[in-house]
Amino acid sequence: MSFFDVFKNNYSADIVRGIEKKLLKGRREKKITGLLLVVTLILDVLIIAMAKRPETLFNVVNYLKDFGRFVFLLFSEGWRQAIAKYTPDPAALLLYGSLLFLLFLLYRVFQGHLTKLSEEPFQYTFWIKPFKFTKSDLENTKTGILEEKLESVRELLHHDLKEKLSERIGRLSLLNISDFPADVDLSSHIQIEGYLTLREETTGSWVVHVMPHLRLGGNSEPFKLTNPVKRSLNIDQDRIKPEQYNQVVEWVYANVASEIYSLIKLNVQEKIRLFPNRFLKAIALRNEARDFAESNTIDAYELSIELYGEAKRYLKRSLRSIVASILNLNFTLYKRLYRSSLPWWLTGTRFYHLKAGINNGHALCKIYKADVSPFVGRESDPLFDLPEKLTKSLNYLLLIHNSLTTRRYRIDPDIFFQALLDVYDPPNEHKIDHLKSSLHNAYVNYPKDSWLRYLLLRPSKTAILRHKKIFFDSVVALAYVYSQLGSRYVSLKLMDWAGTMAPSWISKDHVYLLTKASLSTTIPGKIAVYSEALKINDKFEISQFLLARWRELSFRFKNELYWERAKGVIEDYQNTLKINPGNIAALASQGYLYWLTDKLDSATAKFKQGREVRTIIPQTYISEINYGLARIAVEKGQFNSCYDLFQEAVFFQPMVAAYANNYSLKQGQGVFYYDLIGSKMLERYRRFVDKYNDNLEYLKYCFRPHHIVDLKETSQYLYDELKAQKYEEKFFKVGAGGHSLGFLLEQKVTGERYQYDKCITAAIINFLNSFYKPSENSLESKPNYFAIRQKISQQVPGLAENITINRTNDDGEVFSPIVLKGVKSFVQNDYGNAWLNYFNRFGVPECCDNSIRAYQEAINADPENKAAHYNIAIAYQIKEKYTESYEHLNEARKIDRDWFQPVHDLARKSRIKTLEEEASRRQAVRDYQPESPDRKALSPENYGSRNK
Amino acid sequence: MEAGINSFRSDELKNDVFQLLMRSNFGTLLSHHKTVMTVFEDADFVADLDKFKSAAWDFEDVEIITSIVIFWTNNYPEIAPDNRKAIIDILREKFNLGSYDLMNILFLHEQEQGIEKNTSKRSIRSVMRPTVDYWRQIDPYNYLNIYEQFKVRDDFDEVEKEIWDMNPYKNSRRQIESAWYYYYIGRSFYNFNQFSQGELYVDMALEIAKTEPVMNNLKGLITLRKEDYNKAQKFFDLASHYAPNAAVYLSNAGLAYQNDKKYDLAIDRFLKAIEKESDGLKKAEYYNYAGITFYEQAEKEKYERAVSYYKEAIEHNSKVAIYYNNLGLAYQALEEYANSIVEFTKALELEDLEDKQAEYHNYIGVAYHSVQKYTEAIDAYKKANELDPKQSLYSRNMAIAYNQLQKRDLAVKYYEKAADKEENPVERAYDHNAIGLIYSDQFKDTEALKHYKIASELMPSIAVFYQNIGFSYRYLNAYDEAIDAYKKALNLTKKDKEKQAYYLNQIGLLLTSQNLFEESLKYFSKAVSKFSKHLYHNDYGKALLNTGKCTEAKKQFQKAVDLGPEISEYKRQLEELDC
Repeated sequence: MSFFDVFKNNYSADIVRGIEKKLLKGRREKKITGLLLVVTLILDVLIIAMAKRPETLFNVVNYLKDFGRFVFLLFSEGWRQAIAKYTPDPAALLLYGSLLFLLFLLYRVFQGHLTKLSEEPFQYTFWIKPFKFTKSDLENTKTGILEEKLESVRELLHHDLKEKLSERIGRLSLLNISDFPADVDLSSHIQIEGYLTLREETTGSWVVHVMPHLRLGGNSEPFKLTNPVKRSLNIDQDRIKPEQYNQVVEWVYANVASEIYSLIKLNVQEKIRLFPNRFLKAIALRNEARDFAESNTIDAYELSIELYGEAKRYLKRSLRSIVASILNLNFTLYKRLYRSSLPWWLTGTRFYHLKAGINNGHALCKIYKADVSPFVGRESDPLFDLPEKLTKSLNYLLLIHNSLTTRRYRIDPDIFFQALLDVYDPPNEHKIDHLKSSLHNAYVNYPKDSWLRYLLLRPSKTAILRHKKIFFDSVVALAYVYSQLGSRYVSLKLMDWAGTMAPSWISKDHVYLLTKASLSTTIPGKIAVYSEALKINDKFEISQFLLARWRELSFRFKNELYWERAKGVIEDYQNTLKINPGNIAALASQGYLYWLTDKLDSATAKFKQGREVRTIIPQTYISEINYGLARIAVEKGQFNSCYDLFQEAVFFQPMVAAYANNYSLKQGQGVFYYDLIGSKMLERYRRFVDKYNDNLEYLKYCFRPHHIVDLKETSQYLYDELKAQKYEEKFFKVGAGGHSLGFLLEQKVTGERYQYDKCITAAIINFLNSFYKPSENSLESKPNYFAIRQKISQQVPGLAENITINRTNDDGEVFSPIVLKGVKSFVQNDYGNAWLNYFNRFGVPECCDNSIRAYQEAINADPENKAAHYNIAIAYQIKEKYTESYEHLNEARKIDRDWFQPVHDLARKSRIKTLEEEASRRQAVRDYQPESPDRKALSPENYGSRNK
Repeated sequence: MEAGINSFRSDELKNDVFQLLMRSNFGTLLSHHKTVMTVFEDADFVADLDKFKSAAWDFEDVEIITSIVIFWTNNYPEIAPDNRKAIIDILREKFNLGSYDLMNILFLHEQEQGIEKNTSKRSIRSVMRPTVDYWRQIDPYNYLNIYEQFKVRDDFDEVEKEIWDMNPYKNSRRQIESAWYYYYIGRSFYNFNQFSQGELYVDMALEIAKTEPVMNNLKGLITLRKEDYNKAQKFFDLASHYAPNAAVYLSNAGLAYQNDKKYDLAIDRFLKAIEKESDGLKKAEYYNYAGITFYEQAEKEKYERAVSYYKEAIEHNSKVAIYYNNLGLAYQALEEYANSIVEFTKALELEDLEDKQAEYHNYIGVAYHSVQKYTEAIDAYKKANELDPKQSLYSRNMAIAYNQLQKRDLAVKYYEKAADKEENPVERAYDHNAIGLIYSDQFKDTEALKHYKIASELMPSIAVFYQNIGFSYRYLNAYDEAIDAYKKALNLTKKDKEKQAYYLNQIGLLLTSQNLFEESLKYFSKAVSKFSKHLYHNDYGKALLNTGKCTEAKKQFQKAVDLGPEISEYKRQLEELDC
């Protein structure tokens, strides 16, 4: 394959792009032919002119010698002597000069042509064959029915996948290779096939299993498997719900797309090698990287970062970097040069523009990756190296700016960066105003140039516009980087400058809007700007998610915990999930919102969906999901699963169970369960603890059918008692749904119908337990019933001994003491977190006391709960009880030596002096100590005697 | 360990140098922190850190270094502060430009240095400001940001306006959260010494939560600072009424009473506070306060009580120099100098601050001085002077001691030093006066006169200096000038008859020495009428005799004899009279 083959021989690409492509190619060819024609013409004229003195053409060696001597004399004896001795032959000068000029022109045209070629991304074609259905060999009628239902899925799946792929990956076009002869070059074709099957998991549930595989190239190339997609199904349901189907499609798409990217990446690198020089390679790689990044998935960002890195390496070693280094050399002397009118922009513009473009793209990709990684539960890289690189390329851009614009609007790079970064000695207001007006006038007003610069290759307006674009992008990218690193101060300044430079662009620039949103200080402001950003790029996951996140925080801030209000926010998160079905954070948020509004089943569904992500992408962290599920498990009384989920969550990410004021805002990741907590949310946590207590209570006193040893005797007792207490009206009335308790008892006591034994037992147990079931009847409101139950349980043999702790729930789950204690610890820690965060917002000291109490209970229940130790330490710090705080921080660190947070806090908060003082105290402080007045002013050292 | 520093790498950073601090258990941290800190003193440390490329750093590395720097600042601000600041700058510039923690450290650093209007401090504020504004606007309810807002603003009026604009409870009903919100604003104002504004907000808080002891206490503190002691007493008493078990409020009430000079009530509160308090350190503090209250009453009996309370304080907390100091002072007041020296020596051992140490040395000197051990006293004063050379008192004390030892030259020298250092013109004038006195003793009247004049120029309203001027002029035989000086002194002492009599008498004497007897009679008679003293009667008698008024002279001599029967000369004079 030759270099031009990459573009030319792509048969399918021609089909897709049709005449347009051919036209483009034709125009380019015409251009070159025209140029060649002009060159030949000029040469003809020259040759005719020289024909009279043909020796000029052949005396090259003599001329060179003469020139050498001329130069020698120029330096040794001065220019007068030199000119006097060697007068240059004007005809020869003209000839060789025009030859050189022609060569240069040719080079430019060729280079321009190549550059244009390199700027087009490589095109690929793809085709998806209908997925094959492998029927399970089991003779099961139910699966048979379901398999029939899956047939419709199979038929639709590849069509939907085609649609998604061609819509979301711009460079892919459809091509059915079965229409082509076998000898067609298919090096840029992607063929996707796959299987669909129904499987029974070991747990007994049924899953749809989709296994796509794909290859790049012709028939001889091997296929590669992608991650399989599994989606659990309810075997009893009538049909596969559209929601479930959509999820399957999304997942298949995500897996196929990430595999396509990795294949294309290898292929791209191969093709890049075909470019003749490194500069062109760098351009091509930059364009590839930019194209990858537009897919907005974490894998694409990773690939993109890699390609940018490679582009940088090529650029660094390209020939152009030597030319550009003229500017680099001058850079050290810029203080003088930034005043000069020399056209420096000619030497390095292209190089530095490309470099800045690569740096910007690289930085943005890194940030996007860092932003996206918590959504999908993965690790991200630090961003510390970005400002340095961007500032460096910005420095060169400033230099180019100075040579492009007139003297009046030049910018001193020193002042530019001093204003940004120097905390101690910022330049005065006047200088900054000058800087801003320079930016504004140079790019918005396009001032008239001086006559001198007309002579000295004044840049065209297009050149200035091109520079404006890249300069603006760099400033905005740097602003975004700083805003991500938490330096609002610098970021705001850069945004200000970008605004003055191109006021009409800022409302359309995606990165600018993202930065503006992150810098915005109010929640409504943030929401507005993210919506604006989404208008520009509605497939951008980060803005979509952050919009939802801030809507949620606004919802919390308003303290209106109603389902009607939460619904809208859940919908917002759903939009994020449409872009990326694996967005763990969105799923967790949705689940949490459902939980807050007491919709436990929907919450469970969302969290479980989050857990499924892990089965598809194994490297995902899902601690938040597990933590949310643990809460629901507590409320449902499933303590065993709660214990497991909590342990799992805290093992991987202890911070999930830690107090977290502003932590998520600071780090852009992690938990956000307690952010902006208000009284209503606190109320919900109180309900959570109540439910837990109810469940526990229920466990303690619950009776089971096997506790009734003698049914007849028990019935007799109960019957007599109910009669004696005159409860006829309530218990002896026949309800619509069947027989009343009284009736059943009567039957049993009178001995008329014995076949109702089971029913009677159930009714008795139900009656006995009804007092203890949470949210049904509370003991306090029905003292009489309670008395009856007490009486009966004491009188009837078999019941009395079961009045104490039972530790099984309705489903017959048995809870060991460890589980019960672990769950208590989890609940109390969570409750404490809610209180502590409430305190951190409103400053009511009792709240802090409440949190300490809760944490202490959590620790008492489970001394190994590291999160509770950490949290109580924080609470003690607030109370200025340092010794206790240290003890607990140390305890947390001992339990988990890899958990860094307590170690940081230990180092940050330790005040050795205070500590030693505390240690020397005979008794520890127990009460809240408000500050006392300044001791110094009242001590007698001021009353010291003055002797004379 | 040093090798680890020289080849600075992210992993080694974790494993080598900071192992002790980060990974070891808390006991090791406590026992080894000083060793760890010495690492930072290395001059090349910062250069090595700077060389290290930012791309190789991890979030965790930055976190570790930031934690270390904060630990360092909090615990060992004296160790290599330049290195520390350099590291903060590197961290800030390369890694976390907007790090609020780091900026906060810089801010505290500047505050410690006392650079109030420094440009850098203003810049630090301007960097912190957007972050604080952000926190504040995202969650205006959050009380934690109120104090931060104060930190980043220069103008308190501006702060107040902003706080009021942003007040989330402006239109909402009264609730306990809003009371606390106002309380924290009040407390921030109090911390920045803006008492009137602080009081306003505390009042708002108290309106909602009247029975909150903490709020009552704050109100008390503010009124105490405004020196409205009655109010302060009321609010502290209210606070301790609502929280009867909290000793702090009782002790604060005691301080309010003490300031108001209601000593009995003050002592009552302190004793109650001691009773309620379980913490030894706090108890010691209250004992100390009680001791001070007794000491202030300045009676022998009370000094003894003060001694016993100070001893209690020391028993509860033997590590506070001020308690020993107070005890020493009380012993001095009781004139038990040996004991006081012992206590001051103990205080010296505990105190780190140099100017405080100087003070204790001075007290020791005073004690020796009082028992007339001047050489020892001078030694102590000298030490004090070395530690705090700006203080004039130590030089002056030294001068006094030298004077006692009859080393006049040295005495003059140290008085002069004291006068140079002294800023208070009264003290300076007295220093010059003392020098004059020493010269007068040596009959160097010209020199003496010079210093008396300086003194009188510095403080023209003090009669003594004119008296001394008059005295010197008399010995220089410049009678008119002397009379002028005495007349000036006379004008300045209109209420003090005894002094006036003295000056009138002196003028009379000066006139008699010029043989202006008739004129002198006027002054002598005035002197006698102002204040009856045998000397004046005698002088008057002599003058009368000189003018030939023998009978009247006899009367005066008789009075002189009556007032001073022990002086035989008067009797002789009276006997010799023959009229």
